[in-house]
Amino acid sequence: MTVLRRYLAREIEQWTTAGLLPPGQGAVLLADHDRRHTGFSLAAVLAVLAAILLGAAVIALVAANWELIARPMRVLMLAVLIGAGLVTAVMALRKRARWVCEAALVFSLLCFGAGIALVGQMYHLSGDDVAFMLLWTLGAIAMSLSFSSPMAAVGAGLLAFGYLSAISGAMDFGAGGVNDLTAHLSVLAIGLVIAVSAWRAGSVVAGHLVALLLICWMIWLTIDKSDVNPGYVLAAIGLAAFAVGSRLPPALAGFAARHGAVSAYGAVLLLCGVGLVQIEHDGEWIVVQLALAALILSASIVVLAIAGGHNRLIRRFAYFVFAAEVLYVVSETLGTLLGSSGFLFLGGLVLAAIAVAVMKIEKRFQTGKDQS
Amino acid sequence: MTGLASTLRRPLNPVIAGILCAVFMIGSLAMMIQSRASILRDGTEIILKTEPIDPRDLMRGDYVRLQYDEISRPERALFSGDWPQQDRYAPLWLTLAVGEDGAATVTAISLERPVDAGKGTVLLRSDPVMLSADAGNQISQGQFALKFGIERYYVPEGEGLEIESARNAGRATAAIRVSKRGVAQIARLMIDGETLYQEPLY
Repeated sequence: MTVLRRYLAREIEQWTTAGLLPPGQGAVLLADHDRRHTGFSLAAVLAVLAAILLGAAVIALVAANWELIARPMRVLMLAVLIGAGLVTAVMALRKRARWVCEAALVFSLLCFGAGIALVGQMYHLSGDDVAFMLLWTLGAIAMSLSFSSPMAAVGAGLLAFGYLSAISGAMDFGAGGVNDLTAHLSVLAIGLVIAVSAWRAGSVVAGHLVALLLICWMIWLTIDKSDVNPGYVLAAIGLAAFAVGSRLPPALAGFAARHGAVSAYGAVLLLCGVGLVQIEHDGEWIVVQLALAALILSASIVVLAIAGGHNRLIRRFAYFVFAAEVLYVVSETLGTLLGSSGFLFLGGLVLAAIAVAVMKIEKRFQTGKDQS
Repeated sequence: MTGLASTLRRPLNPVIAGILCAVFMIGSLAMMIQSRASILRDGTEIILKTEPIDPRDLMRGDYVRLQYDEISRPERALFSGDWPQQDRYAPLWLTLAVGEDGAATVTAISLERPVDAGKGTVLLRSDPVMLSADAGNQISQGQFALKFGIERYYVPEGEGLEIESARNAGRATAAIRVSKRGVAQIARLMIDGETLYQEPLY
């Protein structure tokens, strides 16, 4: 039973006891929910896991470099396995067995990776991690785009992280001022194409992977191309995203929800970015540190005030940042004077005060919601 | 949703999707094989002394690591041309003079591909390296170990020991085939001049 199903059952029971739902209606609602949400069943999960295990077995077989099977035979075998996976996927799709199709695609994708490894093994290639990850990622993208497959889109997102780490590592991550536009642009292009394939396949997970990939890409670019602390860039992007997400222009209304994911990414990036800046200035003038602390505290309050009532993730993250920042300030300013026990005592008092304040704020959100 | 969006989102016919994927995946593997086999078939052969050691790769299995001291740490005086003014991630070109027995020695290093290499020479392209503008000529400071994509020799599980013991005596050599575009490909691994493994084309 899924978490959502349990939550729903609990809520419905609540409503029935409170007299909001006529007796018997709750069971009907739950039955309707069960009828429409059979997509992600245990069988489906097991099928995908089985495909992953089988694919891993193929990869291990290649790695064993078993000489009993001649090389051309091994290549042929892998081509046949890739083909078999694809044929199974096509047949499953025609019978509308979406999860069998997904599992078969995962298997094919792993066999494709094994195939690239096999060719590298046959011809003793070394130092080709970048090309390896790039080709594998492109395979996943092709698969996801052509089959509209969510699992392949997720695979492409994960492999793209492999590509990013291979290429940034090869270029000596953070060496500074590297003049290779192609390498930087290739990651961006791959991220955008996976975004399209995630959108086509309707995969939320793949969408988040792309967002994270692009954030990592941005950090890489900032470190490589400039001496600026990536915190500034993150904060600027976060501010923009938060502003767009929370004051969504009507033109984008069908594209993203107000106070939704865009807004949440914005809030997290903004606060993380300012935090990075603060870490950089650690140990400098106390005035600078206190100014930064005031900025972070007020930023988290502003974020709370604008979107806290609508988005639980934003609310929790802003509380967390606020509390962490207060403790940081206390430790920086008073920690040395008070000694550790005094600091812990004061920290406890401060957190208790925050907890009271939070309770009050929550109550106001509640009444605000009831009125609207 | 707009017309364009729904067009982009329309699922492809499964059979076409399957064929597209199969062509891409199997085709790319075939192209990789073909490009490597062509170097083995048509490339110019050079012989290099090597020193193996053997770890393991997760996806490709056991391998013997090969080191080529003559070409990976070439003489500092051999670099010709100007050091880049801006940081670059680029390959270096080595000009090798090849003797009668195939033994190769580096005669020049450059950033660009030499136009006229002359007879009896082979042009070898290294994997890209970080050329830092600030650090000055890093080759003359002996800061790199250049790589050529031939630093690994994959062996069946557990068979690395034989080569390893030959390594200890320093008797291993490798025959490398080099394509016209400067790409290197291991063709044979030899101990005391006798071939241990001969690479088939496919």
